[in-house]
Amino acid sequence: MAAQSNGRRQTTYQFCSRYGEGNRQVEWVRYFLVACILSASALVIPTRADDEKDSIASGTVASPTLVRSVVEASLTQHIAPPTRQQVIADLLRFVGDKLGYPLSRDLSAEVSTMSNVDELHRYAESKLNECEFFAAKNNADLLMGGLQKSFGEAIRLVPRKEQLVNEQIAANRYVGIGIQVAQLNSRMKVMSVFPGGTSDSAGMKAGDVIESIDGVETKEVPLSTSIERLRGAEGTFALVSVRSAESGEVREMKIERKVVPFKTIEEKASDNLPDNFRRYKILRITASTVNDLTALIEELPASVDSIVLDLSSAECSATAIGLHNAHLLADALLDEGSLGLLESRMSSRTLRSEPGNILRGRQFIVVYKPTSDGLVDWLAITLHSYGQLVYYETDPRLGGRHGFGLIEPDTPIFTSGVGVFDSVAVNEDYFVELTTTRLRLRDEATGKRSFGQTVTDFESLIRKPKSIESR
Amino acid sequence: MICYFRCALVVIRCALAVLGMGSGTWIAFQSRVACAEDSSTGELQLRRPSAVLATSDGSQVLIASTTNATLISTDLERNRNRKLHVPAPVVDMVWLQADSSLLAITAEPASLLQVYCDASHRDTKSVSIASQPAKLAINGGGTGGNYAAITSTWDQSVLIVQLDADGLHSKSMMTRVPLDFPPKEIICIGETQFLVADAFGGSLAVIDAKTGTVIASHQINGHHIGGLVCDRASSSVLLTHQRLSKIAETSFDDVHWGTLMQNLITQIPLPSLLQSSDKLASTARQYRLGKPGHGCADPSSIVAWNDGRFAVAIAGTDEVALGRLGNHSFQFVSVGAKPTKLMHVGTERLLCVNELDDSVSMLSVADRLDVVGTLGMQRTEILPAGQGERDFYSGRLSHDGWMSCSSCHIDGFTPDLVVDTFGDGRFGNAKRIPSLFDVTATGPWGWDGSKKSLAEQIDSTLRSTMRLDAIDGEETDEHGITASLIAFLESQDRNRRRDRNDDEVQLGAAVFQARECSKCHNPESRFTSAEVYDVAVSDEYGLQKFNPPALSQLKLRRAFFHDGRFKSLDDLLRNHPTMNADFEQQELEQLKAYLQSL
Repeated sequence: MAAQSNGRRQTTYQFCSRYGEGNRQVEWVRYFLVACILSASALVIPTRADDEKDSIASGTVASPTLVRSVVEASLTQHIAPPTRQQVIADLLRFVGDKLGYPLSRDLSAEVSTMSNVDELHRYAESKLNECEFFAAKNNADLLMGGLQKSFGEAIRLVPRKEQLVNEQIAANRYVGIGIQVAQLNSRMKVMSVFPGGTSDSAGMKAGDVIESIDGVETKEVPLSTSIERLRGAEGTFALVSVRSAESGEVREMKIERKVVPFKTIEEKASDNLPDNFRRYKILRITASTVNDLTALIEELPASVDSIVLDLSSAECSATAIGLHNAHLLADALLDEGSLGLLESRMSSRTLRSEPGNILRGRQFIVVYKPTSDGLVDWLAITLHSYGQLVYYETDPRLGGRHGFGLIEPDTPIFTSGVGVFDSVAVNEDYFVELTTTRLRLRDEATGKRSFGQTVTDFESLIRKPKSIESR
Repeated sequence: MICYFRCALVVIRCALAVLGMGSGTWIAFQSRVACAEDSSTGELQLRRPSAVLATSDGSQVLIASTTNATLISTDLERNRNRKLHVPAPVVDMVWLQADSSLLAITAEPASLLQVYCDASHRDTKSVSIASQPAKLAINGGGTGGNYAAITSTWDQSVLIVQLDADGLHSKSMMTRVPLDFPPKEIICIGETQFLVADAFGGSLAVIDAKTGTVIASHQINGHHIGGLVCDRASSSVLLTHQRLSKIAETSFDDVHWGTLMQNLITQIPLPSLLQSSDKLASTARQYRLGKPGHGCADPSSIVAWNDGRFAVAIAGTDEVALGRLGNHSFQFVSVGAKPTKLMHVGTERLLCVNELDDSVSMLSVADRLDVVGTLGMQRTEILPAGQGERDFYSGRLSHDGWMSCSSCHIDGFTPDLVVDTFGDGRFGNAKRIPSLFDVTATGPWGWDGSKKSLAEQIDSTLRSTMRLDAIDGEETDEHGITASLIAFLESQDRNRRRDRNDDEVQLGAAVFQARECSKCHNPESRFTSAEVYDVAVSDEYGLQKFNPPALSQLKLRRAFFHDGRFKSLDDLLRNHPTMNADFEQQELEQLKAYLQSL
């Protein structure tokens, strides 16, 4: 089934899972980050209990049809799928173990004799019934766990609503009422209000408590459930009852849901940089980042001839849409050339950059942290391979190294590339998210390159533009 | 009797024009046509205005029309209109001598006129030219230049006409300068140098009128160059154009953030233009028109003042933008439908020709940009084809006004770029933009032939390529828009005139049959057929069967095949994956001659 149904990429915003590896902890972190950093209308700081109640992968798989759809979609779209027999055998064994119904030791042998797709799924259905899988609580988690056994990575079931939110985030067109919230003492507290947003206009302040949404109380209600009530289509309204932190007065507010654009770039002014430098910190690579960066560069006076592009904390999900956005940014920064090889199950193609860039003759220095997201690594290494000066910094807690060049060559990106996730629709309600493509570095990037020849002091170097030019 | 006489004259003119096609030919034909006048007061009746000029004091405005063989002179102070009859509808005009005589070009028949509009009542001079003209420029800036340069898009040439002190004369020397791209916009950028721009793609050439040669060629990173102006103050040229990203896709996000289609003003220093160089991009400065929420589809005519201000007509969103060099913010004001020609009157006023609105807007640019008056009446009754034409050129059919149909299918033709649309239901397999010539009669539609009706194809384009959501915040009447667009496209379909049919072309036709080209490109069906064929070349998703495009104006095409992989007819014919490409050179030339005649 095609991954795109309405022209937008049906992809899920995803953090972590660097190079395609994932685990349960990563799953939690992802949820935390998605909720905290990106949902803008709701900065959720969930308790562990919240997380368990509303795990992203939770839900009920009530029908054999859905199991079949998920398995088949995964087999069709994964970059290197195992055999159908192996997937079904692993799934059944995992489910059986978890539900306390150890299945026959002959299961693998039985499955391997079946080549007919219908026959295999009928067999799976009978075994799942035997385990009472369809009656089990949170059986979607079981299904995903079973699939991970054969696919060996974080494979996820994504509800359509979450898919929509993820698309909005990747497009930097998140629709909300413009607040960040947390649950404190079972109450929904406003942590910050987006300046100029509709909640700001309505008079909401940080510290206020939201007592009800559309007449439904928020007290003791899981935060994610309340957040869900706050969400809605652009142009619709949420009726919220808000207790003021200052006066204690409760007010009813009718607040419109609107697009809440995130800042994707921050201009760092306190660097003691020479006048001919500007430092831009890329916060996240979304569909708007190229537009935002271009707008900043357009306003630069001609005397500014050098730009420090700080990717050290940039976020870019290793998803198909994240890759597309990173590709657009690489194209904006570089002139014509190859950017890497994108391999899928059926084919491979070279990602390219078009002629021209938005820097118009200005030099730029890339700052990155090798522990950043896979696609940010790819971007930094690709820029380096085109002769751009790259400065790296590692986490001080991990021994803190820094210098010009790249981090050590055993970084996985040099050997296996970046695994890129995509979401594949399985039915009207769900998508399954898994690795569909892999991005490898361009040949020149894996060949001649310089690794961590540290020492040189970044600050002193950038104060001497000539020495940079000579490198 | 008079009719017969006129027809005979036209035939003679055409014959002489053909004789005059060669480079550096003295053309000895010139006619004089009486310039009749009549006057009226009150509301001005305009039909499809094409060009406008103003007298140096700004008191009178002269408007040309592509449907009437008249120039309308309007006295703005007395509200009095005067019609100057000319031999044919005027496509473009420029002052030869400010306030007294002008040069104009007409398309049917193709001619260059010198019209006197002062009190001398002298007859209009007319000279036939060989090819259908598009735009006109002269050197000297309205002070009696000695060269006129006329672009001909479909002839892929510029005609240089030498003028004398009285302008056109009986032995005006004409030089045809062939180009390797179809030109449209043209301006004078030096004493005798003219800059000419591609009608569809991003090519530029500098022609020296004195020698009749191309002295520099350039390629900008963009297409659809809609306007040129030479800014003497900054010693640079400003050009308006679009850029279609090969990397972006027609997803909502890429359209919304202006990543897919950019509408730009590029400023290029004159010294960079005067010699061929691959460093044009590094010396150029760009201004983006539009931002999320307010796209600026199809920037066209541009004018500049000596103080760094410039104004741009935005044909797709029916606006004029006022900007300043070095500053990236603009003031906007709405004008009539499809503004395509600007003319400044002094430092504080601006005239704007609204081609599809039968009007000319008068704007003040003194303190702030504002419309202060309109010449002409809005058309009260618009036929479906007329509405379809408005829709075709309107950016309102796209999300936030980033593009119109004509942004890609420029005037119905193609810049031969590839774009990643959702035409076959997925992204990641960009396809070449097809020409729309003969489109109504050449189903099925879409490169994969999946659209069984043109309406289905248009609906798909509006929704998944242009991301049409709502027009002016109101629910769109998609059915009505599609019907109007089809009516317009039908009105454009016609058997186009072939400009040669000699022996070589005839022999080429035989090769076309012998090589079984006609199996897919059937001459009886406008050189296509209602099937998809395996072309032995897979796209990114493994699709190999494609819909053969109709063959038309191949000589102007710069890329062939569904993915634009072949960059010339030679390349295509020698490497066609399913055709025996073992040609004798002569056979190849004959086949090319035939294809180029289509």
